[in-house]
Amino acid sequence: MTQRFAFTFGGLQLARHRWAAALLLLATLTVTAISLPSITFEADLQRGFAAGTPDEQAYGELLRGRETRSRPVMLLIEDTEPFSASDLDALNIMMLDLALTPGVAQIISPFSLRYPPDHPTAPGGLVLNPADGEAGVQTLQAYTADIPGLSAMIADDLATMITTIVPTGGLSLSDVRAMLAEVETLAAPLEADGLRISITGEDAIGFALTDALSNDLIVLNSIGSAAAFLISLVALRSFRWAIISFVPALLASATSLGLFAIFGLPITVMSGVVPILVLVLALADGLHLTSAARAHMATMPWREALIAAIKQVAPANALTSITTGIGFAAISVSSFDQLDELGLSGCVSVLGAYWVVTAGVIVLMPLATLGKRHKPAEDGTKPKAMLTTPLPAFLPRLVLRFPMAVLIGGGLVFGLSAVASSRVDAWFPLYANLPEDSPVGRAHRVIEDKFGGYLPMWFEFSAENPDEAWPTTQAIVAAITDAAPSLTVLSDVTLAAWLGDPTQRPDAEIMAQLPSSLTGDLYDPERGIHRVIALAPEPMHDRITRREHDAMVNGAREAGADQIFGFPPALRNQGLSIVHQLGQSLLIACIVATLMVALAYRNLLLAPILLLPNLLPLLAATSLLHLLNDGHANPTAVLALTVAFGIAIDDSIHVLNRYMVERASGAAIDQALSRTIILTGGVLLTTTLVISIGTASTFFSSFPNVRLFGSMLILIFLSALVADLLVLPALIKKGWWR
Amino acid sequence: MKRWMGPALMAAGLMALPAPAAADQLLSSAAGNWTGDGTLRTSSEGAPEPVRCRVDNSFNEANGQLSMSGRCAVPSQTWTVSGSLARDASGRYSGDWRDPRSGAMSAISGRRQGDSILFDITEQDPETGEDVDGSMVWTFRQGQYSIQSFVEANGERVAIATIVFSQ
Repeated sequence: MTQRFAFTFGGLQLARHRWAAALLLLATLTVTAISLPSITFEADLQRGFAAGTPDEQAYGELLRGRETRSRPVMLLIEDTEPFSASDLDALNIMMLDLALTPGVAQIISPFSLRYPPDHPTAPGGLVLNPADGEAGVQTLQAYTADIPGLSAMIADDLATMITTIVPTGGLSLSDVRAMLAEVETLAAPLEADGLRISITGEDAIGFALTDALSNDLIVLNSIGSAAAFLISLVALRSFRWAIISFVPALLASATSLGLFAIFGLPITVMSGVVPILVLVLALADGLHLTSAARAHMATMPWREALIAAIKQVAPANALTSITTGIGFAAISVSSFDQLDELGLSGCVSVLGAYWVVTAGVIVLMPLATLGKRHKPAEDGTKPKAMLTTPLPAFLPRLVLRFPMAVLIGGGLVFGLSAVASSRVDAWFPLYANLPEDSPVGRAHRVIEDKFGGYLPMWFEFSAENPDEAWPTTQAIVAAITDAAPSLTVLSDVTLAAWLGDPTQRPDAEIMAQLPSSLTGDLYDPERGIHRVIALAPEPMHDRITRREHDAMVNGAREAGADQIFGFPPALRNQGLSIVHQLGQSLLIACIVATLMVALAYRNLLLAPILLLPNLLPLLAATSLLHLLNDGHANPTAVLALTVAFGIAIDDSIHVLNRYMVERASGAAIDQALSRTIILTGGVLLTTTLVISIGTASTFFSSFPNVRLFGSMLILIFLSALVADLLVLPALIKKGWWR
Repeated sequence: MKRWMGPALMAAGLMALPAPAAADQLLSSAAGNWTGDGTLRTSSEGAPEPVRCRVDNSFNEANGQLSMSGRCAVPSQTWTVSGSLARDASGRYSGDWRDPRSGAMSAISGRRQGDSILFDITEQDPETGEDVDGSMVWTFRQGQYSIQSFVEANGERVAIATIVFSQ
């Protein structure tokens, strides 16, 4: 016979020695309070994609030898009508001031393009004369149109311009931030004159991300906390009991935040949701515990009631913390630092939350009797318990009379969801990780739409000397321009075309006159390495861009590129690798968590029975990505599946637990199932609503991905509840398990 | 194309020296941060291009020397300006400046004329190896400092830079 899981992981000892609980809580709070001011936010976008591949190592080698920073800052300048002569004149002056800004190595703007030295009418002169206004811009566009890979940097509407600010090498992030502040100061007078000037680029995106993350953390946790307290108040209908259940959950959430600082982990878009998740899960645990303690207080003194409640509820709370912890721990098996960090912080947070909540409730329990003499009822008066949501009476009848129909229905949903899920496309767009209203994100998208892209993408190969390299350079450039004709390409071939003959390699004399920051990027004589640079969009800007990216990479490899690196390939390859590795984590979480529960109940047969009702919600939620996220599975979505599995299986634990209690008390299978569905179902519906309402605070996030994460979790919580109250009992009824 | 770049850039490098009414206060009054705005030709045939500069000058009371450092920019190019200047016993202003192209320091010497200081310059063009003669005139007028730079080409005096500085 299966035995109930009764291990409290020290909870019972804490209840018997309240001073130890107080000490534990005090120590946790002290460490948290000390660590909270040291919280940092991730500003380095590329760190999330580092997996140590050979291409990344080649990229690292390149970066170490560069004079300039590999991450350009982009300016997007827009007007409502074509730029006038006075606009251009003012912009030209601003570009010069930008060039003099500390930390700026080079400005690449429409004003900096020059004719070649042997030009018949204006040797070495500037192509764009601001005084010519619209006509001058048209001259610039006509000139660059004849040179493949060269961009006019002014769009066809004659009212949109881009400028690349190349920072000097070795700048710290705070130096870059100071430089961007200076850029904003220089742009302000022009904006006052009606121009719209936006800054973007990897660093600018990183800063926008950290600013939004810190803001999001405050908003989400404030709203989540307010919602959590209101839920406690409604569920327990008592201010004192609401405090007893809410405060420990709040402390658990704060502790999870402090853990980031203690471990030295920067908060990312993905890990920023951990504190709010911990809050709602801890609140659910706290509600279970306080509700049980309150019920026991009807018949016994509060100290004994507390111990009885811990014995009754703590094992289930502990087991659910462990399964959720397994969900997070499974994320740590990736080869990406940020996922490992998320797995670590999430796992330790939910496990720690168990003790913080248990100790918190133990310490706060005297509040329940504060100011009034508590006298247990001796007449068996029914205690005021947690408000539970009533379930319709037909539910157990449906399962007991038509178990096969329930299973067929579940199977159909399972099958259809599986088919729909298989058509979900792994996708990793950078812009989805930015706040929706972010001007930085908007500028990023506009530049990609109107100018092709700006993220440097490097194609590297070895050759003895420039002469030997020339045919390969030509072949790689041809492959790039064939696959993605709109991209700006920096190469010897582009220089040759600028000089007038794209088939003739530029000689050393000409190359010596060019900025060493450019020529050094194209050729490393010491290592015999030659490069071509394409300014590319993020590969998952849209499906066409991804196709072009893949064609460009494949074509360049066939043409002789040994290494292809930069942020776009990282987004394409490592971004998807993150999605796939999270998929593997999900699989691991499913297997380990179900085995864990089965082992806790000392019955391995439970594992397959638990899998079906818990995979069903995951597949259903995945298939709904077609509606929620254009059929794209990004890391956030898969992460939600993994975390949610660890939480959703908790419902199964409660159902099984109750069923075994009923069976142990002598009830027949039908009666046990009926009572389980009605009694446990009501409580589960309440706790599902509790954690769903708490999780709904993610809807207030400025990040679309965080909102998607919250939506996925809630969908899984609700569908898991349905599966646990219908499919799981139907499986038991059909004899899959007794 | 690059022939006049050296004298032009040098002009930009030395433009931050005001000429106050009292000659003995000339160098000390040039201390501080200055922003320059004007035009510059990179060749005698080329059109004037906008130039902007930011320089930071400091004056050493002990030896009467003015030290200059900063950067100037034309479209597609920036360069560092640096140098020093002091008035000698004969009343001439002499010192050194950094050649923007080679990075080497060269000697310069100038004389005061009314509200202006005149410098004669001879520089070797690193591309052609030929000497290029030029001159610079700094003038102080109503709170603004201007500098004009000229080169001698085919017997003619060609203006290549005009820059106005303010604080």
